[in-house]
Amino acid sequence: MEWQAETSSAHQRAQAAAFDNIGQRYDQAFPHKEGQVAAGEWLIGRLARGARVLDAGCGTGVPTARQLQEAGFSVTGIDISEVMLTLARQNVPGIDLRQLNLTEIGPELGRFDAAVAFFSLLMLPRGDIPAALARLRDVLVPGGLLTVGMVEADVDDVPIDFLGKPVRVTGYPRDELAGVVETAGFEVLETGDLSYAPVSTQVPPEVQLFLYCRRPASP
Amino acid sequence: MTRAPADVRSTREWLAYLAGATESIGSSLDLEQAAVGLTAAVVPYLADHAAVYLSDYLLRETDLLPERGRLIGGVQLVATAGETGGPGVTVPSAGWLALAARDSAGPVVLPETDSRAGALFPLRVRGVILGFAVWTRLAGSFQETELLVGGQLAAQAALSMHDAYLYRREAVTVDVLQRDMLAVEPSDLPGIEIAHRYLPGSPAARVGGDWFDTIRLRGARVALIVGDVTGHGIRSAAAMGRLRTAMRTLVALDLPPAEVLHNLDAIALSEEGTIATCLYCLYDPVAGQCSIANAGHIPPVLHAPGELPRLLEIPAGGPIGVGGIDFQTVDVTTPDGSLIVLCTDGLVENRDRDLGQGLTELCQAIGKQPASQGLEQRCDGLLDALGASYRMDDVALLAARLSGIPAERVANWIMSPSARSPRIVRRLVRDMLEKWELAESAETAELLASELVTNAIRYASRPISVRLMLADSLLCEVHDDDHHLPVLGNPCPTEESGRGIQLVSRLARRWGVSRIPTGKVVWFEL
Repeated sequence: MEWQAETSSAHQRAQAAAFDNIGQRYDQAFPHKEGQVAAGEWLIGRLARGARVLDAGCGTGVPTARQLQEAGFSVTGIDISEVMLTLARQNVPGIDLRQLNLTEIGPELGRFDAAVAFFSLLMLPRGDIPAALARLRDVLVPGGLLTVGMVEADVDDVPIDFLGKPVRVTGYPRDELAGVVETAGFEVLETGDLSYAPVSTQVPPEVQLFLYCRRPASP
Repeated sequence: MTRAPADVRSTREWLAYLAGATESIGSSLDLEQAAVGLTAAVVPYLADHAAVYLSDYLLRETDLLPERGRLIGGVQLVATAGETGGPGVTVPSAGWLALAARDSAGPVVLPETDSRAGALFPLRVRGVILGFAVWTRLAGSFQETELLVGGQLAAQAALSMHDAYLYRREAVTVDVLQRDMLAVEPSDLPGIEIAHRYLPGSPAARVGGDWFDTIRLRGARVALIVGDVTGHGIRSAAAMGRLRTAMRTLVALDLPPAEVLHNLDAIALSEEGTIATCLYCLYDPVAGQCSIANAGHIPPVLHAPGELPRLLEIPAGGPIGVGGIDFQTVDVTTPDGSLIVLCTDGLVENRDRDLGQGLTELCQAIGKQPASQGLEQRCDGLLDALGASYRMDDVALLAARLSGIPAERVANWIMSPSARSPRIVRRLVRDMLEKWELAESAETAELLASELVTNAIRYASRPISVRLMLADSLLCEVHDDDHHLPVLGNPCPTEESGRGIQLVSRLARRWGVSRIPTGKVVWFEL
């Protein structure tokens, strides 16, 4: 287990370094995140003002952390990349930001009414995803909501060239993704998909999946 | 000149008449003009009425005259002058006249009808009969001097007509050649609308070294090409034809633009003395991007919606045919609705303005055009605005509206090669086609996609990717990192592999294989 922990943290450091390098170019390559914004709207319509929301893998804070803050929620953002967090601090002043991986989410963050994980589970190996989802479930209040955004694929931690940087990515076909989320203790309420063409041929067009889930009120 | 009885005219008068008549007959390089010139010279000086009949061969644009021999085929009346006289007076029928002209080397005196004298003059050049001239008059039969003079005029006219015929044939030949060289694919391509113009450097030159081309490539991508072979006329046109063909071949290999130019350069180097500039722009309507490489050509203009038209800064490299130039590919984002204009220097450079000023004027002219204006009108407008009718050089202009293919019409998945990949792909394809309301194609698409994936996973070591696109047809591509290209062979009945491509070639509307830097792409269209 010691060995696994070490490779896992080396993995995390490499991923963080890639995103430190990508920085602002991320938003330039993905300018119009209609799907992600719509998924944010889905949450906003179901939460009361002042609700606590966790943005797991907040990146530059745009558009989601900002959208959630503007909707009057108390937002905590986590990300593995220091550079992304710095950008998020500038883009969305006043939110709580922590440098954490999805696998490091714990009770010290407190309880949340909802969480979003937009294209962040993508960066974990399949082996780590059930644990990350379980941690997300554990910090949600019973009945709390989770929205997941993923890229549809069938890969486990494979290296791809992402905006000129090597990044390892993971993806599932849609029915398998739903299965993974359900196994982690969530109810899948709705699903959606969207073809998305980034403004850079360094990133191929992708099919985005959105899963709208709930931690059951009683376990 | 006034009319005097033929027998009282002096030699001096005849010579003066012949000099004037020869000039009016030979003053133009036009067949009909020469015929009109002949009738005008004859009436009223020699006859009351004159008519010129020419062989169909001569008049048809593309027919070649028989090298030598008799007048064959039909004749047409091309020019007449004067009055045929009172009622009942007729010129003999064309058929009869043709018969009379057939074997005669010199003038034929026609039988008098209704007291009208007539004479027929074959129009003959080096043994080839082009037609004949007939004149008639009331004032008595034609004298020997008159027949000699008439024969002289007919010979002169025949020479002019033959020159005109040769000139016209050459012009038609080069026109056909140029049109053929510049033939482009139909412009009903998905994600892009294209219009183009070619103007030769001068009406006399008719051909030149400028060219443009559009080529449809895999995945709805479109190659836009403009080039300019140095020099003018038929030699540059011929070099252009060779380079254009070479370019089409290289483009079809799906090489990156800079590599296409590099290879074109190597080909041109093997033909001594061929120097050309060329701009290669590869538009990807899915990515909304142009990949552009330049070989010493003037830069393209991009007019993105809501922006001012601007020259795209592409490293100019150097011309094709020089060697040793490091061409570069530059990727330019082209928002949907952008206009891109490629042209040759003949459009922008002239006596009154240098290249820089011309390009500025081109940008301004594009900026002034309403975005809603049709592409054909915009081309005409640009030619007008830049004074292309006063050009010194030939002009090629290619304008393209880049409308893009919306993301909802594209799906792309990456997958690690595994035994379950074909099954997963079937499911992904089925779901997507249902969403696109193409359930009727789903079965075939699923089958063929899973066959391609089955082939891909056999050799791929890195993740493969599968792309579906709905444009004017349904397109499916499978990318993998293996460089071995599948071959369409006949698998023996006991062999398990090799059937996939057979199936694809049988069921798909089109299919193909491209090498790409990262491996290969096998694709089909339904």
